[in-house]
Amino acid sequence: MSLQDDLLPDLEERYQVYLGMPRQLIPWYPTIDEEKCIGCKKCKDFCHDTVYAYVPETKKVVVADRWHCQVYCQSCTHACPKDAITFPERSEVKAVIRDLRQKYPAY
Amino acid sequence: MKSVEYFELNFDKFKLQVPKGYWFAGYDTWAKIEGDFATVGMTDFLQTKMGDIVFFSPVEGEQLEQDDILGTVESIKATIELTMPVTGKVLEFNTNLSDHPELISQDPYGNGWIVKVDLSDWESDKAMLLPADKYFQLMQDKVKNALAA
Repeated sequence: MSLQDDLLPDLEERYQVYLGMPRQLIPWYPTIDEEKCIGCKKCKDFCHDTVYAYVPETKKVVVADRWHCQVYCQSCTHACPKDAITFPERSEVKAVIRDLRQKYPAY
Repeated sequence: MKSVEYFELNFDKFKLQVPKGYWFAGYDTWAKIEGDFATVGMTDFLQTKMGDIVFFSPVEGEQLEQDDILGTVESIKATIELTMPVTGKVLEFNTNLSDHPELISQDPYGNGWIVKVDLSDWESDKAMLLPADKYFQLMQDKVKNALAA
């Protein structure tokens, strides 16, 4: 079993790698502050990558597929009227990606 | 002057271009390298996805690193941050964009350029970028997902 299979067996092919590196090893994805979320779904409507899902029972949006998030894209934060969405520090993610590049060389 | 050649994808009413010889980030910005200097902008795919661009605001700073935010772009559809594909000292931002942000939509690889920098770590930057043919492949996947939605 490969590393990717071990981590997320059902991840669609197009989301498995980022520039030749396993996407699941790159900690870039949104976090929603549940207290702030009003369930307006603007983030869900904005994101083409199906990161978000609406939960009718709670009337909130959740991060359903975090590995679908495009690395360094945080445009959904502008869509949120309540500033409920945050992302990791770019510098920290950048350091992870640099380390991964040593292991997974460029094309 | 040598003319630029492109990889081209016709999709619906769009013709998406990827200039050969440029370098591309996975987050859809490009760098044209000339010696120790680079010109940077956003790709034809991204500007097409955004729709008509109505505003561009650059970040403040004399030095930008690869993967830093480069500026904010607003279109009729959305607001996004652009990300810097290379590391370098800022020489100039394209001041024409303040009055004419539509240049990004009209000519993303030419008059719609965003910033020029003096490169400081190109060999390291390059390891994180794609040549035109590889970006063209990636772009086709993105088109299927984003523009076909």
